[in-house]
Order: sequence, then C-alpha cells, then structure tokens
Amino acid sequence: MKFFEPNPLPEPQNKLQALGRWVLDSTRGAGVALCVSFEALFHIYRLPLRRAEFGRQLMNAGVKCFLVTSIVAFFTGMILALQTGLALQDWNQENLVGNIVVQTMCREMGPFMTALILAAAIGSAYAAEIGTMKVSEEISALELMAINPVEFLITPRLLALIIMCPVLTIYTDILGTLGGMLVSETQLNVYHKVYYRIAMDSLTNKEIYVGLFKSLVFGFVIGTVSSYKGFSTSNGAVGVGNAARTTVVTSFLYILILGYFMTRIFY
Amino acid sequence: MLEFKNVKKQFGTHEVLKGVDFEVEDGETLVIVGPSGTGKSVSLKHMVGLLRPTSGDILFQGKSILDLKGKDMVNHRRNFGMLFQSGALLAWLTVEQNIALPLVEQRKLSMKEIEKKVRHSIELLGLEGSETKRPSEISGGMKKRVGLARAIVMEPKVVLYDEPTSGLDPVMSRHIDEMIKDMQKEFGITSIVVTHDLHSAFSIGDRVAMLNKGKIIEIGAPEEFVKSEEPFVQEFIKAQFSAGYIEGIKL
Repeated sequence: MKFFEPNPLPEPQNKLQALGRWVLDSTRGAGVALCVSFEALFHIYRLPLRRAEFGRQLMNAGVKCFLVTSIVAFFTGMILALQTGLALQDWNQENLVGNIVVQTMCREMGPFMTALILAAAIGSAYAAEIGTMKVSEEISALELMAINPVEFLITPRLLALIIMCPVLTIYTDILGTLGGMLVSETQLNVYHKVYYRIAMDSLTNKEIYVGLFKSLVFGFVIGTVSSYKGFSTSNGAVGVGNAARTTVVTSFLYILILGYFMTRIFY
Repeated sequence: MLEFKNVKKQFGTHEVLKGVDFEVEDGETLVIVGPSGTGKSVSLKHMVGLLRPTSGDILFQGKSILDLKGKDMVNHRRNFGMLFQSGALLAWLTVEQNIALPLVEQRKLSMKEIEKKVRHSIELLGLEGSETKRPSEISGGMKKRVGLARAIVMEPKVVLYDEPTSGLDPVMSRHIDEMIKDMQKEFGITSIVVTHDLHSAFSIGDRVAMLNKGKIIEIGAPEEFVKSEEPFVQEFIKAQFSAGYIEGIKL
C-alpha cells in the first residue's frame, strides 16, 4: 500500500504553497481512490472465492438498510405529494400530483435519498472498519501473507454497494410513489386510481434507466470514497473517527455535484 | 542472511531511520531494543517490503529487495512470518480460520493438508479448545499466540516479532519468550525480535542491538551488550534492572 504512505514533500512555507499542496494532495487522493476502485473491479473474477464475504456485504448494504430506507422513502413521497399537491390545488391541478411524485422519485429523489442513506450507514461503517484494520496492522498482515488487501477487502464491498444501490433505489421509487398515493388520497382528495394512472402514463423508460444509472454511479462513489478514506487512516482511534466522518461529508458532496451534472447531461 | 546497509527512512519531514546498519546470520535470533518511537517496528516493515527506505539498501540472501515488485515481492514475503504487536487477527474469522488464512489463500494445499498443518500449530502453541473462538473472545496473550501460530504455519525462513511481550503480565511474557525459543529449536528459523523488554532480549537473543534516535548504537551478544560503554545503553539497562543482576550477568 505504498500509495498511502505520507507525502514526503516538506511542509508548505506560505499560503500559496499551502494552496498548491492542497490541490496536489486532493488530485493525488482522487487518482489513488479511483486506481484502488478500478483495481478492485479488475478482481471481480475472483469473487466466487469470496462468496461468504460478498454475501455478508450484500446483507450489510441491503438488508440492514431496509428499514431506514423504507421509512425515508415513504415519507419522502408523502412530503413531495403534500407540498406539490397543495401548490397544485391553487390551480385545481392536484390530479397531476402522481405525475410529479413519480417523475421526481425516479429521476432524482430515489437515487439521491438511497445514496445518502448508504453513504451515512454503510460508507461510514466501511471506512471505520477498514481504518481500524489499518491502524491495528491487519492490512499489513494481509500484505505480508501475500493477500492483496484491495481484492480481499474492497472488491466484495464495492460490488455490494454497486449492486445494492440500484436495488434499493427501485424499492425507494416504489415506496415513495405509494407514500405519495396515500397523501393524495387522504389529504388532496385525489382518487388512488387517478393518481396511479397519471403516474404510470407519465413514466417512461428513460426516467427509470437514468435513475438507475445515477444510483450505480453513486454506489461506486460511496465505495470508492469509503475505501480510500479507510486505507488512508492513521493516528489511531481519532483517525478512524475522522475517516468515517469525512467519508460521509465527501460522499454527500460528490453525490450532489455528480447528481446535478448527470441530470444536466440526460435532460 | 539479511543485511541493512545505511538505511534511512523519512516520513514527511521526520527522519525515523538515520542510517541503520546491521546483519542477521542464518538461524540467529537478533533482538532489537530501544525506546518507543525510534524506528524498531519501521525497521521490521522494511525487511518485508511493507515500507521502502528513503535511501540505503536491504539485502536478503545477498540480493537487494528494493527492486522487487509483484510476484517477486510476494515470493520474498513468503520467506517471512510476522507476529504483529496487536496480533493483527481478522475480527470476523475464528482462531482456526485466522491461522489457516495464509494457507487457504496460497491455494497450493488440499483442505486436509491445511487442517493438518493448522492442528499442528494449534497444538504447538497450546491453543486447543479455542479453535472456534473469535479474536474478541480471547485474551491478549492468546491473541499473540494465535498471531504466532499464523506466522509459523507457512514454515517461513525468518520470523519477525514486533513487541511480542508488550501489554502482557510477566508470567505470560516469560511464557511467550519460551515459545519463541521453542520455535527456534523446532524449526531452526532465523528470528528478529523488536522489544523494549530487556528480560526478553537477554533470555532469547543470540545478539542484542540497541536502536536509538534512528541509529544502531550498540550490537553484540548479551554478555557484551551489558558491558557497553554507551551511556544510553547503560541508562536503559539500569532503568529495567535496578537490582544490578540480569539472569546471572552481573552489571
């Protein structure tokens, strides 16, 4: 893991040097993080040998986030329906609420909310787990046993996130739409069959595919950030806490920024 | 067998090793002692390519290891077993699975052969009854023993011990010392031990080296080491042996 050794350059002497160092370190960090992730994906062919670990990570990323995802998805749909429905009522257009909820969920909110949950719940846990292994020399022990830590630790985790993020996004889209339906029926007096018909009529394959593509990218981003932060952990327990915190913050920023640009490209 | 030639290592602006020179003979036990933070563990990591020196050279069996990459480095590392300070056991694996891990990953032996080797290591280190326990369920001393079992299961030529007795009570520390000596007798392997426990150093070492401020300031057999004229060596010895006697060696 020579990439993760501290930078041997001398300390910056002024603010300009410090800015330059920050740019260099950030660029290098992004490059190293992407290299680690691509190396992890390169080792997919060895995944059958890691069935148990891969299953454990799928369980972590999917099943253990199921309840929180359900609550967040349902309430996101309800809030969306209520806010847009109340605004649409001023023009007697509340029947269109199904259209807005399903489009927003599939295009934006489904992948976005799922990614935020996974970044907070799983990304931080991955960074803390790998960071703890780093500071307690377990990663060095793996290297010494001629075991590639990227293949052993990152491949199953990254793939679990890349798979579970779209799967949970589909689930979030469905539950959010149902949450919107409940609010439309009870608060906006929109009959559920009307809501359903308008929602389905407005939904095209593009909305679904773009949403799933986004979630795939978000899964990759969370896995990449958490692996990098975990591997670059130093300074004991404080460093582990720091790795978990910066994983969440960095993932949130990338999800927001990339989310905007992907929307801009596709629409 | 292993030689450090003017090895220097710098982390950022901090120079940890400032030109380390020593040689380890085949079958010898060399103990490196010194205060915390002087680069003892860093030296061990250089031997197996976990760290690269900023300058200098490291030779193993007469060949430099600095240019080794990929499979060559993997093959180099297969000559070594290492007992890490904390044991470095994987938390989600049982004792048995931790010991078997390097053999399973090497994929050269059948499961039956692996089981046989793991059983032998477990018996050698007195770990019977703990096979199915996880690292969180065993004591610090037992973790070290499991780490040692994992280090020797591949039958390495050299075993590196990083603070094998740190955090253990004196009885367990002497027990670990005995085990290191037993390993030596059983397999005839070369051992390099890093410790700040002079009891251990004089008990197990053929030679003892003092690393201070990034340099080897004294190296020799225990009898010669205690007679060193280096003031820091004497200070270090006296801090641990106020009675004035070390296992029969009069200061």
